[in-house]
This record gives sequence, structure tokens and C-alpha cells, in this order.
Amino acid sequence: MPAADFWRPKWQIQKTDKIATAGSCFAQHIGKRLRGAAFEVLDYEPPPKDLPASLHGKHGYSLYSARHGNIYTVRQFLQLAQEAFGEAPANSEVWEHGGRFVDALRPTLDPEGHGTVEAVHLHRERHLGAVKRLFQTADIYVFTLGLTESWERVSDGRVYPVCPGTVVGRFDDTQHRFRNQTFFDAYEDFLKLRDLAARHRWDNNQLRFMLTVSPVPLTATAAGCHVMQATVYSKSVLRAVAGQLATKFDDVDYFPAYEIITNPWGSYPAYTSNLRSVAEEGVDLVMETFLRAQGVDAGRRKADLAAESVTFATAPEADNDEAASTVVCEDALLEAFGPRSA
Amino acid sequence: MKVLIAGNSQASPLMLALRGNLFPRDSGLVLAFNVTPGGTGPHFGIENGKLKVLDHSGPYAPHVSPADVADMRISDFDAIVVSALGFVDGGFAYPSTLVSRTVVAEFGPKPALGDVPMISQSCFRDILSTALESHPGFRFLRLLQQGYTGRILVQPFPYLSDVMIDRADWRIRRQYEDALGFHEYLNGTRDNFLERLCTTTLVELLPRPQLEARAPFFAPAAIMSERDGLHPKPEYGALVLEGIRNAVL
Repeated sequence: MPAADFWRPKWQIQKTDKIATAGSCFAQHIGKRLRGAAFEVLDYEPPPKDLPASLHGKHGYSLYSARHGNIYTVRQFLQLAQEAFGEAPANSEVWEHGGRFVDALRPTLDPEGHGTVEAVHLHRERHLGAVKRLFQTADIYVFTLGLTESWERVSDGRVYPVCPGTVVGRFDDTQHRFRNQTFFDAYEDFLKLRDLAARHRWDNNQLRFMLTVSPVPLTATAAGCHVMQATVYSKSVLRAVAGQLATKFDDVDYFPAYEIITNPWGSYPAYTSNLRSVAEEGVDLVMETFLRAQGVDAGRRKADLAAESVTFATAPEADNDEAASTVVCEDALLEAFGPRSA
Repeated sequence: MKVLIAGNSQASPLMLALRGNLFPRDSGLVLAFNVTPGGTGPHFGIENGKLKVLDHSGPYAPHVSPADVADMRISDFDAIVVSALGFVDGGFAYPSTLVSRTVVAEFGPKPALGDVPMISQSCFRDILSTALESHPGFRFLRLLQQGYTGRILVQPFPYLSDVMIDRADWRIRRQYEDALGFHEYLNGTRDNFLERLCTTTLVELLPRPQLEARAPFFAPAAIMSERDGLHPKPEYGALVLEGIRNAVL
């Protein structure tokens, strides 16, 4: 089957559509490539003008449409939206590390944390404002589902992006617990998210969702089985959830990035040498499929991508593995520092 | 010992100290000046072994002493002092985009600045380093390191007058509840950058004159210009010249 037939979109994205992106680390590729193809990708927490592009990722900028870092689970996304709209209590949990303070729900975003607890809260307040505006004004939300495994606060079920104590913070089994979300968890969370978005629109246009599933396998698991099994469980659940939602709702589409990378018939290297990061060739094919199906002129797209590659080639990290590593992924930090292993 | 002061307007007090006989003519130093205006300068390149003003027109026209200094080769000098590097805040008189384009949460940004991007301290530090490295003065320093084998000394940019503490029109005061906290952070970060740069590139960083002001990282108002609180008086220049003499002789 030609690559062009991998996907037949439900709706064409117009150049005037405002696109928001969020999700696990693979979603960073999507946002960059869409921007490179001249789609209007929103960024409501843009980098400061004077920060060089090579340092955007270090400070959590230009990764997604708001500065939330990776959002691995639907629940994490739902809870963020609920907090932004005042439908859930504001998160006040701050972790201290070496005399600095970090937002427990964005622990890796600011490399050195903040000088005071109040500063963390001020940053979060602004962040929530940006998230709120995204749900109110975006036409399409591209969301990449990454994981089912999560760590949550015992007291209220608030999901952390990373296990407390791995990158920063301190694990306390009376306050933190593991939860491997089921199909029904993820599905129902998404229905709540969709409902919330519909209730808070600034106009009568319904927010549409473009779902993908991250092809990046788990690095480690807390599910008590081998990481291979854990990966297949997680991706299977997420793929089924995305499929069910896309089948049921006209405003939800599913783009098969996961299948394009993981299928056994591909003649291209899907992963880099760490067998985890998606190779640039794989990302190219994914986005080529996406853009072609959206009717983007191939010649112009290539020029756009070439321009983009020039931008990134000027960064010191040039070889494939390192270029892939410019996609900010907490999983990689977990691999290096996390206590868990399968 | 022949010393060239290649500077921006912060070299003026040094010249005035000489002219006002606040620094002895028989100090053992033979001083020459080549100065371009603009706090981010000096705006020099190096061509055929001589300083070349990057833009002769408009605000960057050079000021020299003696008159033929521009014709001298830099190798004619035993040492070159770059005066002064590290401009980050123009006080109440000169706008500084470095200060005004972002706010740092720790210092209580005023509520009216809700649209100004709020950034972390580490992000601000990266922006500051990037901005300083792009200053014509720092670019000139790099050129000098490549094209000059004598001693290179850097005068750190003077601290602002402590009159700022009381000025409602000081930009930092207008931006932050804790204006002094941000000022201390800004200047401390800049000083760290200068020290690190000079240490790693083996350039000598001149010590600042030891002067007691009303708060850290300020200069006492008595030794600073009343007009802008940014430029020191000749007495300060004399202290800098003393520092140069101590360093090179």
C-alpha cells in the first residue's frame, strides 16, 4: 500500500485553523513539523524574544502550545484543563530541591527551579491562563497519547508527570501510588475533557481533536511485568481508546503515527540506536503522510523542512542520536536516574 | 608602559581624571584613548593591526587622544584596557530591553505587567549571557584576543548610582516590588558572567573601586553623575586608573 493510503483524514485542516499540540514527547515532532509546513500552531507561552532557539527546549519553550512539558496520560491532560477552568482545586504542591522549588506537576520544565514557592505559584497561574485560552480558542487539538502508567497523589488522585522522587521530589508511599489506567479510565477521561472543552468555547465552533499514539516504547515499568509486556499493554489500550473515540465522534480523528513507525513492513529504520527514540526517517514518513493527506504541496513542504533542518543544524547537537535527543523526554531522564527497572 | 584604553563612554571619567590631574602624569603609564559612544561598545574591529571603528557615522563617531591614536598599531601598546564591559541597566535615563522585555517572578513583578513574559532565573541568566556576548564590546574583546599578543584587561561596567533607590522613574523600580532584589540579582549575574569569561579566556578583570554605597551593587551618589546616575565622575576614573597601574606595573 502506498504511504499516501496510510491515512484518510476525516477533515482537512485549513491554513486558518488554529492548532494546539500536547502529549508525550513524540508530539514535539508533530508541532515542529506542522509549524514548518506553515500551519498556524498556537504558542500561548512563547519563548522570550532574546532567548536563542537552541535554548528553547532547555527552558521548556517551543515544545507545545503551552509550557506544560510532556503530558503522558489523558488524565493528566484532563486534570490540567480542569484546574485551568477552576473545576478542580489549584495545585499548590511544590517540591524543594537543593534550596530551589519546582512545580510538582511540571518538575523538569525549569532546569534550576525557582527561588521561592511564591514564584512557582506565579508561574503556574500564568501557565493555567495559557491553557485556558488554548481550550477556548484553538480549532484543533493534536494530542499524542503516551502512557497508561501513572503516579498519583493519594489524597485526591492528581496525576504527576513523573514518579515523585525520580527526577526531583521525594517518594512517599503514604502519599503517592501507582496506577495503571485501563481502557475505561482513559476513555472516560477523554469524554470529560471533550465535554469541558465544549462548555468553555469562546465561539460556537466545536474543538476538534486529532489523536495519535506515541510509538516510543516504555523505558521502565512499575506494573510488575516485563517492560515489553507493559509497553504492549499501554499502547494497545491507548490505541483502542483513540480508535473508539474516532469511531464514535465526528470531531475526533485518529492519525496512525504509531502504526507507521511500529509496523513490521517498513523498509526504513524506525528507531535510532537506542531502540527507543524514533529515527528522523520515521518522523519524516509520519509527517509526510500527515501533510500529504492534508493536501500540503510536497515541493513547498520540502522547502519548509529544509529551512527547518538548517535551523536545527546550526545547533551543536548534529548527529542522529543527539538530534533525536533534542526532543525533550522525561523518560530519558528516568532511564538515567530512575530507581525503577523491569 | 604604553596602555591603550579602548572604550565606550565609561572611559570618559578616566580621561577627565587625567585632564583634571586627579591621576599623576608621571605614573609610569603612557595612556592613549580610542573611545566610541554607546554602553554596549566599544564598537571596534581590527584591520591591518589597527583599531577600526565599525561605524564612523552618527552616534558611534570615535573620540581619541592623542589625535593620531587611530593610526597606531595595537602592537605598539604593552597593554590594552577594554573599558567598560557589562552594560545591563541604563537606570532612569536609558532604556534597557534586557530589563524590560521579561519579568522574573521572584522579585514581585508589578501586576500591570501581566502581558510581559515571566521567566525563570536560569532562563534570565541565559538571556543575559547571550545578550552580553552579542554586545559589540564583547565581540571586540574576542577579536582582540585573536589579534593581539599583549596584556588585555577588562574594566567592569560601573554600578549605578545609589540615587536609583529613591527614583520612581528607575525602570526596575517601575517593574518590581522588590526592585533592589532584582538589581542585586541582575548585577550579580552579570558579574559572575564577567568573572567566568575572563577566567576562561585568561583576560585580566580589573577590580572595581571599593566604594561604600547605600545598598549592594550600587555606587555612592557622590561619585556618580547627577544627570544619569550611570556615568561616574572623574574621581571614579582616577580610581580605575590606579587599578590599571597596579595591574600592569
